[in-house]
Amino acid sequence: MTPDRKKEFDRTMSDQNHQITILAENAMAGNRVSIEQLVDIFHQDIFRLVYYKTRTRMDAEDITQEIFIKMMKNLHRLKSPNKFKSWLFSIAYNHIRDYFRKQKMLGVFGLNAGVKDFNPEDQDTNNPDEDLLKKEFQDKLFEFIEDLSRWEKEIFILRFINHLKIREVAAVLKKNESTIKTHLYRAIEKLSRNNELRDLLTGDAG
Amino acid sequence: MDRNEHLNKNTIIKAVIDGTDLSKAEQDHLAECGGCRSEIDRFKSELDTLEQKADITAPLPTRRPVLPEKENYSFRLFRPIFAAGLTALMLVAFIWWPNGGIPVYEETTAQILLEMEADERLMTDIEELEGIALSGIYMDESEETEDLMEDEFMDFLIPTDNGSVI
Repeated sequence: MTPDRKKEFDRTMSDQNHQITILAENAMAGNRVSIEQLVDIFHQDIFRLVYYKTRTRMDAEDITQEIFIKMMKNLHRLKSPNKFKSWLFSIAYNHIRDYFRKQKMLGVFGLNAGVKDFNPEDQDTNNPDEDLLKKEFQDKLFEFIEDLSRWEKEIFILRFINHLKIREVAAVLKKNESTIKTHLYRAIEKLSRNNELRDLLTGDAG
Repeated sequence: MDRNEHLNKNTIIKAVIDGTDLSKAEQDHLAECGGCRSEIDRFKSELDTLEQKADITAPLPTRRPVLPEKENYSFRLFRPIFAAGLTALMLVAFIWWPNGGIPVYEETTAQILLEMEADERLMTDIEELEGIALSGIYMDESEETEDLMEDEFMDFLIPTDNGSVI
């Protein structure tokens, strides 16, 4: 990214953050329109986070719905509107953790279907070649994420799948920034050794 | 580190995460070394591609979350008061109700007398059974009554004309 593009990107991000803060303020005051606007802004991000954790669209959609209901019910607990994004991701992160705990409990009694495999029908194109490439990339990415340790996994997803800044990841996981950097370092180091995935990123695959 | 020495892989990764974490010497080297800068840019570019591809390959949600109508604020405000009132009401009812609301079976005198009669009948039956262990049916089949035995035996010993004992 060139310095000019970076400045433009930072300005856009700053404007967006300002807009989110105002919406969060209004939402806390009970403004329904602002709440709906926040849902519009974040529901794809939250869905993506849940999808990369659960790997099924149906579960991801149900959990996303539950997360936003939780958000709405707990808006009065949000302390600073400028931390809305981290706060929402914290809710999502905790809700996903509860989901996996429940799955684990059901697993003890043999009532859950276990970890679901990635479903190629979850993808949206009608182009078989494109679908194949997407599936190949996603398989490799899931495989890579699966091999990471618990914290490396959580941090890698929040940083690179959800595009959160290190400061925001630290706020979501309630850890200090240097801890986040340490885990992120290990995850990236593992990525640097994963030639199969890197080939797909640089276009050298096949 | 030596100012002219290239950054190693670990330092490159550190620079990718946060360039400000590099030491003064490493930052100075980076400012002068195009090779190391391009190595960092190449790595950053790979990570950017990963982010973009992860976005593209993830499916889009088919439905937008639907939020419920907002809970009636006045009810939410009064909910603790309502709960406290209901608890107090239940407590009063519990104390006021005879025996704390637990049903107690009250026996009448007639019922007691009936039960005593039934007990007496049962005791009589038990006593009878103690005397004759077998029931009537088995007694008929297994032995004759004592009186009959005695008459026949006496008639056998001292026969009479009419068959009766003298």
